[in-house]
Amino acid sequence: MMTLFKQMALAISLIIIFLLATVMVINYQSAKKDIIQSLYETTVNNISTLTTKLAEASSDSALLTSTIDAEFDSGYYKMIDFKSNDGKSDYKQIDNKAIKDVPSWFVNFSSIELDSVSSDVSSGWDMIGTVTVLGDTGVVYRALYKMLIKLSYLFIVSLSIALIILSGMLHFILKPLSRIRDQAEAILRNEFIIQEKMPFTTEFKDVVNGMNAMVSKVEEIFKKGNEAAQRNKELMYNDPITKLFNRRYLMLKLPDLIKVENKANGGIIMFIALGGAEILNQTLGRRKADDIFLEIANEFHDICKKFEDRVIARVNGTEFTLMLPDCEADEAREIAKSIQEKFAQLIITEELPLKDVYINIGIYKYKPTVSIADLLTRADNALSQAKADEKDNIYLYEEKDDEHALGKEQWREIIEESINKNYFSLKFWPTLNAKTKQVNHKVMTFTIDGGVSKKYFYGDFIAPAINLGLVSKMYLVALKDLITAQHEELNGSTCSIRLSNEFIKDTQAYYELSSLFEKHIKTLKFKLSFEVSDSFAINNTLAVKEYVNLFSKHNIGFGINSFTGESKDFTYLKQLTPAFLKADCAFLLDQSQDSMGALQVVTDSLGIEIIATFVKTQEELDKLFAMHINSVQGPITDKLG
Amino acid sequence: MNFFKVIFSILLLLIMITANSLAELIDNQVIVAADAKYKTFAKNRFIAAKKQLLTDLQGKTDMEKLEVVNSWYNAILYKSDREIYGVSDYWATLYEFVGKGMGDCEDYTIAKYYTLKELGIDPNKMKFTYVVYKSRSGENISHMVLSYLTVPKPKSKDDILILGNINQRVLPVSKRLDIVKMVRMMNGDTGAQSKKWKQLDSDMKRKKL
Repeated sequence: MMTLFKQMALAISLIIIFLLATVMVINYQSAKKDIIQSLYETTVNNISTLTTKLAEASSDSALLTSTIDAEFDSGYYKMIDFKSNDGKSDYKQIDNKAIKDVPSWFVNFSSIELDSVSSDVSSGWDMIGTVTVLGDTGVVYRALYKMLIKLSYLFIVSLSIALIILSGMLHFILKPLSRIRDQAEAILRNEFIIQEKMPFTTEFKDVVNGMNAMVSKVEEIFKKGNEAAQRNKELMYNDPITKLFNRRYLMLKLPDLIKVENKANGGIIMFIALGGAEILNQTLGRRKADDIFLEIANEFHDICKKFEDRVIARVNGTEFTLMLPDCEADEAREIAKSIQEKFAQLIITEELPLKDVYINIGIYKYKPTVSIADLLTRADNALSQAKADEKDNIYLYEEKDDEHALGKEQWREIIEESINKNYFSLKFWPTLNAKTKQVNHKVMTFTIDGGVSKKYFYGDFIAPAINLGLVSKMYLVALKDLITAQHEELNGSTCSIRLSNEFIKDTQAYYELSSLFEKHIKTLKFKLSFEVSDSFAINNTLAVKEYVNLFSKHNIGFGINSFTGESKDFTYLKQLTPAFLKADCAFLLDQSQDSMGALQVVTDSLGIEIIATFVKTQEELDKLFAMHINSVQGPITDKLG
Repeated sequence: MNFFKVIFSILLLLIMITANSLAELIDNQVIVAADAKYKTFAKNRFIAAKKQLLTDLQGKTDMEKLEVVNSWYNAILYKSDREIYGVSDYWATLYEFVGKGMGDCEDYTIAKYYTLKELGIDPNKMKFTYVVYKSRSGENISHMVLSYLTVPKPKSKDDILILGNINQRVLPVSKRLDIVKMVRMMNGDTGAQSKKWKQLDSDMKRKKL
């Protein structure tokens, strides 16, 4: 495809070349005519003197010959031919030599026809004969050839100057066009750029105005959608007083929180129950009591701010739950104590009796393998124990290590061997458009397969790998295998890889991945795409943006998975411009019509596709269809495919 | 560095130009080439011309130079252009003339002119002269001779000497009753550069054999 610049440059260049060539041809032709004419005139002049001399010499043929020789030798003639009427003293001098200093192609090309000049020679009344003179065409050829060379130089010089000026002018005139193109490309990438600088060309100005208006409108839509989604989310998932999450959100989020790859080595769940809430309400009044709850909520955030992935929820009027992944038992006990102290200070400030208004804290330190039912039951048990313990009001229930499980060093051995010998076996799961049955892309995951006794699932080794700091190395080996080895099932399609958080945090991994792209991406027979988890993208938008830039440089796709809409603001989506959002089917189906509508306004305005994950049944699929979500991933794809 | 290169190039160019202008009329290269093209007799003729004309005549009077040069070239065989070159009219160089050992009236004139010029005779005193010559049988013949003006502005027929190849002596016009008509006198390479002269001059400069 040719740019407008190239087309205009080509067209105008052709016109310039045509004009210059025409001028040159006309110049050459008229010069040729002039030179021939001037030579003819000279010949006419010469013949008149020659005729007089020949008339004088006519009496003697030797004198005639001598006269013609002398004239021929002293001038520029092609031929002097004297024909006497009596036929006795005919004499002819002719020069048939090739023309010098001019290439033969030029002689053939210009082929000059010079008219000969004839004149009668008479002495008195005696008609003696006729002399015919032909001027030397070599003069014309040489003059014309010199001129052609000069004209050619002139042509080249003028053409170069004209083209340089043309290029400069076109660049100047079409400069706004390149900005318009940048803006258009930005819109295609779902980035909102308003062009401030107005071009002076009317047509371009209209286009820029139109595009600016369009961009502003889309941005306005995004803003409204963002606000609406925000409001709906708050209504659905937040406690109106403390702005903490509610029970509904906690229950929705729990499976995701204890999903293997989101927690390294288990964590803490803390049940906090307020005793004597009715005293609080009665003594202070409802409004003042609400203020106290709000203050408690703020204290929770303050005390737990170290844990990025924390979830703090108010599950009912008097109970709170704290989920702290990666938190150790000792740390949890410290936190619980600080919470109690802060609460005690609040109660004392309000001059209430500490023995009537107090909090119980049940702590359960869970292992990565725990089920949700066990998690909740054991945390509840811990709270009961805490309530029973009147002295401390804190109870920690810690899961003992599984004796059958592999130890840290055993895992190190297995993972390092897998990295060195590339035991990773890649698996691909399709994401389908359930309506058209077309494969949208394939998601890559990998297992360790190092022989009969060394088979492990991703879920088995990812947590130990995180603890051992071997995640990026492991991913790089798997990615290199994906990019360099043949995977015929991927040819012509897109392969999406879920990047672990640890990988993105590792700067060295960025450079290695980057050089891997530089070397191999051009020969790749399928398209690549990468996914990052929603919570990570929210908290590390800048780090993820760097990856997004790297991906777009290599024409690699990007998407977000495990979307739970937990952010207060969807601006990070605007910054990262993912191609898709993957959300758990359960989350999507739990949304109210309003909140789903608002979310879809946001995703539509940014050109993001929503993909439902873990879709199992036809019933779920039908509900998703009703929400206009057609792309699905999970066990259902087996039935569809 | 570049400056010296330029200076050096200019010097070299100057030396070449001077060397060219100082080039001998008959040098060893010509002798070797003549030997290769026309064999030993031609080589010997060039060696003789170099010694007898260009060397021995140094310091002699103009008249002595005229006499010797005239008779030396007149010893060469006369033959028409058509017989030698197959064309009606051809101006041979001194080298072709001596090399072939034959030529027509123009070739004698050219050879004498260049030799005398080399010997230091003022070229403006020598004219290429188209004349009509009356043979003993009474027939008029178109002819060319070299004229030598003894004074810059001749007043009588005694002031012009004729160096021809039919009458082999150097005689004033007044004594040459066989020359019945003078048609035109032309300067040599110092005159108007006609087409023919341009050709001859360039052939002489490259010593065309």
